[in-house]
Amino acid sequence: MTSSPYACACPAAQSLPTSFPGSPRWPGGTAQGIEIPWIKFKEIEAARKDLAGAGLTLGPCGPRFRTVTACPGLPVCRRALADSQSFARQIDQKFSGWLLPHKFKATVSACPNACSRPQENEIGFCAAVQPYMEADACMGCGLCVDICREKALVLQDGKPLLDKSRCVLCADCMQSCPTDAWKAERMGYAVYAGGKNGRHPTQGEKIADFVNEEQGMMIIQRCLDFYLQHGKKRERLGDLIRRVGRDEFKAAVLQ
Amino acid sequence: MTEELDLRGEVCPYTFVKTKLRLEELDSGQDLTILLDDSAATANVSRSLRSEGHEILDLKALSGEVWQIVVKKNEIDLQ
Ligand code: SF4
Ligand code: SF4
Ligand code: SF4
Repeated sequence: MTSSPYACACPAAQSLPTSFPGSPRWPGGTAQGIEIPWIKFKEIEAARKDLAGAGLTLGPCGPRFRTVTACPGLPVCRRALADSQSFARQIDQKFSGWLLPHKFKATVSACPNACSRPQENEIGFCAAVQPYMEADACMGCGLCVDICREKALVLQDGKPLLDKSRCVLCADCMQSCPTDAWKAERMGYAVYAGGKNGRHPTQGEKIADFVNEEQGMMIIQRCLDFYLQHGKKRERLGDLIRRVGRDEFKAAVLQ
Repeated sequence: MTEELDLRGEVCPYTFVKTKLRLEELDSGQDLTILLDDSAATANVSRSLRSEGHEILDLKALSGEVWQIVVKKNEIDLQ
C-alpha cells in the first residue's frame, strides 16, 4: 500500500505541517497499518469519510479481530508459493472487527520463510509444498541436493533421495531442477494457532497441514466460535487453548 | 564449436546479465557452455534461461564446487 491514495484523499492530514510529528506514517510495527496521529476528535468522522473515498478503512482495535496482515507473496516475492495478499483480504473482509474476548491477530505467509510470523499470531497461515520426484525425469545433476538448505536430500544411485523428517516444504528443490523432475505431491497452508507476542510471547502450535483457502476460512470460523463460547474476558486464544487443553481445542476446530 | 562463458566469481544478478549479453552475440541454435561456482546462481541462471525459451542441454557439477550449464540458444517469437 502506498501513501498516495491517503495523501490525495485526506485534507485533515494534508493540512498538517510535514515537520510536525503528525504526518501519516508507518509505525514500523507488525500491524502493517498506517498511523495518523494528531487528528482532532471532532474531525475523525470527516477523516474516516475521506479515507473511505480512497478505499481505506479504519483498523479495528480493542478486543477485536484485527486487520489481517500478510507477506508480499505472489507475484512479488520469488519464493512465494501462494497469493498471501488475496487470502488475507478474504479473511479480513469476513472477520475483521468481530468483537471477541481479547485481541485476535491473523496473518498469511506465502512460504515456510514465514516473514509475517504466522507462529506469533492467534491464527497464522503458512504456505507449503510437499515435493515428490519423478525419477524418470531426473538426470542426476545433483543441483537440488546442493540447493536444499535443510540437507533433506542426498544422492543415492545417482538420484536424490528425500528425508521427509528434515524437509521444511519450501519447494526450493522444485524451483531449482532444470528438468522439472520434482512435482508437488500436496500443497496448501499449514495452520498455526494460539501464538502471540508482547509481554509473554508464545509460539503458536501447528494444528493442520495443507489446507486450502476454503478450509482455512472454516477453521477460523470454528476457532472464533470456540473462543466466543469458552474464552474468558481478556483471555488470549493461546491462554484459552492451554487452559482447556489443545486436544479439545483441535477437536472442536478441525472436527 | 561451443562457446564458453566463465562466470566463476560473479554474483547474481550479473551472472544472468552477462549470460544474456553473451547469448545475444550467438546465432539461434548455437550452444553456450557456462561455468559458475555457486549452486543457487546455477539454479537461477538455468531457470531464467528456460523461462526465456532457451533449452538446457546439460547441467552438471564439475570438480570442486563448479557447475556447468550447456544451453542451446532459441530465438523466441515475442508475438
Ligand atoms: S514468507 Fe516467503 S513468500 Fe512471503 S515474503 Fe517471505 S520469503 Fe517471500
Ligand atoms: S522442499 Fe525444501 S527442504 Fe524439502 S527437500 Fe525441497 S529444498 Fe529441501
Ligand atoms: S535438480 Fe532435478 S535433475 Fe538434478 S538431481 Fe535434482 S531432481 Fe535430478
